[in-house]
Amino acid sequence: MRSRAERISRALVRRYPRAWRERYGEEMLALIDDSGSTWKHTLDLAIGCADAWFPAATRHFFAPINWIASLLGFAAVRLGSAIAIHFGLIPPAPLQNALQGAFALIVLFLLGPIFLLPVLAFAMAFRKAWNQWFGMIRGHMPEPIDPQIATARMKAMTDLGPTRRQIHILVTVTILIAIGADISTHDKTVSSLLRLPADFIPIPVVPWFTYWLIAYFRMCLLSLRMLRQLASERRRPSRVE
Amino acid sequence: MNRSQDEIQSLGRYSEPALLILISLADSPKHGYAMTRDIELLSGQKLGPGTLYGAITRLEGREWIEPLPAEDRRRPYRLTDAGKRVLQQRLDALKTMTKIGARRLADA
Repeated sequence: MRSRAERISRALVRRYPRAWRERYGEEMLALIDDSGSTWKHTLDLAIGCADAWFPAATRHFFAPINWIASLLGFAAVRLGSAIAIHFGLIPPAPLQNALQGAFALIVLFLLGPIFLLPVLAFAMAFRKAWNQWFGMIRGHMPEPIDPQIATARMKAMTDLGPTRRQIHILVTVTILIAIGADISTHDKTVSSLLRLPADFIPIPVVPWFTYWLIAYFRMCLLSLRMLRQLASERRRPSRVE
Repeated sequence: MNRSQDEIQSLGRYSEPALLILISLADSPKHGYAMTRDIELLSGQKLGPGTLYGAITRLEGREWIEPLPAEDRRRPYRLTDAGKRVLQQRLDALKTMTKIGARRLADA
């Protein structure tokens, strides 16, 4: 007779992404059978399951510290520029335009994820309905496949999106472009082509903007990946355990 | 800080379990349950299945460990040459840190 913690732990293993279950599902169930399961293990599995669905970069996107840092950074930039304009340090018009542009972008990025929520909710509802329809509400475990293939699939799944190093390079390059644009705005001898980015890139928020842009696209990629996985599960029903 | 240290630390919250798994596999291949038992004897920590397989996935992705043919439902893993090298470098770094720490403690 299995304990409640063990039953929930086994159910949690079936909630891992399909590629993960194909590769490690049987082994994890065997481990639970061998070692038994406590509530601590159940919690550990729940965290592991969330971790498997949401890779580190995406969790980073949701980290409150990033939201707070961005908003505080934006507020500091606005305050700094207001002071600078007040004391006549910066000609007001271009900067104000840039700040308005920055504000619009911030609003867009804050609201952007909200538009994704209905998509995710639909995906979850679809998955639940599909499971109920086919009588697979108790979860399922696919046939084990060649570990080499499964490992390659796992790697492909976790390698989506830019690496941390790529993000750093992108941020640096964007900052350099922005600085160049800022200089070119004040130097009328520079060609109008070079001055063009200054009209669109709000200099002080470039690092935040780049960071959010990458994080945002990573989240979009993750959503697509989840939907694709749900669709693939629909196409390839597995045996019921 | 050398590259291998960076690599292990890039595993985030899995860096410590990953190191324990590498140490556990250093003498012989083991499957999940054998690893948890060995790590418990070694360090007093009992790794949960989520943490254990989270770390195994990352180690396998970096080709520091590799799976062997399954025995029933249990699949043993063994260290690769790359895994041995990374473990050796990490242990050397820890040894240096231990020496420095012990010396400073003695001097205090």
